[in-house]
Amino acid sequence: MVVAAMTFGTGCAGVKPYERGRLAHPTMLLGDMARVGEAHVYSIREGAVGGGSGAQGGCGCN
Amino acid sequence: MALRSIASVLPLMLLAVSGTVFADDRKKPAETSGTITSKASLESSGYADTDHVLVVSPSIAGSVSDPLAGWSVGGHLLVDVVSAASVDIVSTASSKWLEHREAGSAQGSLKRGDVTAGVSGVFSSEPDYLSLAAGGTLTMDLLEKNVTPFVGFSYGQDRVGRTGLPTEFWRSKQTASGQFGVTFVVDRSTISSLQLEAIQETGYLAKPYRYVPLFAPARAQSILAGASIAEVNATRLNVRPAEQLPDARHRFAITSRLGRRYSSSTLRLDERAYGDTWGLMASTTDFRFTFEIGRRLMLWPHVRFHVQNQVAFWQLAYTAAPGPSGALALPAIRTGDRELSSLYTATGGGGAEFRLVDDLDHPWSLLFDIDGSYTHYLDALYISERGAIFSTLAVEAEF
Repeated sequence: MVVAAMTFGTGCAGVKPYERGRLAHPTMLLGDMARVGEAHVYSIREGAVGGGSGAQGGCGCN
Repeated sequence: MALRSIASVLPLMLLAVSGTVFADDRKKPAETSGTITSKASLESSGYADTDHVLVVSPSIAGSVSDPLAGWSVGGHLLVDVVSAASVDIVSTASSKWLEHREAGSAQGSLKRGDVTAGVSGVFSSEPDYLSLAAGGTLTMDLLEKNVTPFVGFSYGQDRVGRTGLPTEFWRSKQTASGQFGVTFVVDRSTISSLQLEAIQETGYLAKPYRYVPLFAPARAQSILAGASIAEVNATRLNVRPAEQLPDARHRFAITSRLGRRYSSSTLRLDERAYGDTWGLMASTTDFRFTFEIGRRLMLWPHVRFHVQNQVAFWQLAYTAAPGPSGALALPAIRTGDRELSSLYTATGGGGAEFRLVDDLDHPWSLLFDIDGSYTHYLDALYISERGAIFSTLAVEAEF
């Protein structure tokens, strides 16, 4: 429910290219907030993975 | 004692200089020159926890791109040096061990019109483990870039062995994943995205060094969560078989991300809901608020909360009893992996990025980030809680 509310509850309005000054800021990239090393720690220390992007390698935590 | 050990390694983690992070062209207008942009970063991360695990990970990364021509290539290399004397190691009467792991990735993308195609490859190698994976993504800009759907796929092959075991006897694991997502421009200051991911893991999914204590049915009831090594050893049966897990696991995750930009600050909120065919369900919430102080400094507090239940076959104390033949009948599926048990983790911290050289074309930045986490295991042997510190120091330059 939280996921649905965050995604669809915000609505969606057409924004022209010249209106996107704020959206161009690098902190507005919707990638993983965790960096490579931090994401690796989470993948090992939590039972859940997924929802990231791109190819994922093995945990290497034999 | 454990906290003292963390305190003793923290300076090392801070000193282990590092490299950087995200592309930073905030003071530049959109690229129109067609010139090639190169970025390089050096980074060092450190992890230490109250279970006597210490990891130091230096890494380098670089990328070259031409925004006008629509292409980019990049990659990173990382080395993990792990020192561990965790309760799982001590409980099997093994000594502290030191190991290293090398990992890396390469990726490239090409944009033609409204479509961007990307490919990536990942490897991870250590003396008893090898992992290779590759994937691709397709992204399309629609409705004047207000809606951007994407699809992705990746496949990985892992080889799992033991130190000294010839590679022909190593086990294999396959991982395939598919992703679909959409990014929406909500208004002039807000972006959100929704992503669905399905992951299929097959093959050998257990850990070859993990052994599971077994108990006589009449004595299993006396074992409580957090029971010490001495209590477990005094109660368990002599047999201690290796971990055995189902040979397939299907994972599903749905992730929503929200970014909202204010005049000199940005709010980020991520939520992931997760479920898999082993019966594990989880929720992970990430919150970050980044704010700028002047032209050179950015600060951000960060909070993360993860909660999950246990897998369907989880047992605090697995039992074994003699069968008709007199031999012990072992449970077919058994695990001691407490990351498959009920737990919650609260993480909090923050970071700072300081622009060392405030040059539009050749910026240099220094970044430091530190988080502390507390995990509570509701139904696991040996430990009921764990504290951890994770930090990163990074330097990035653009040429």
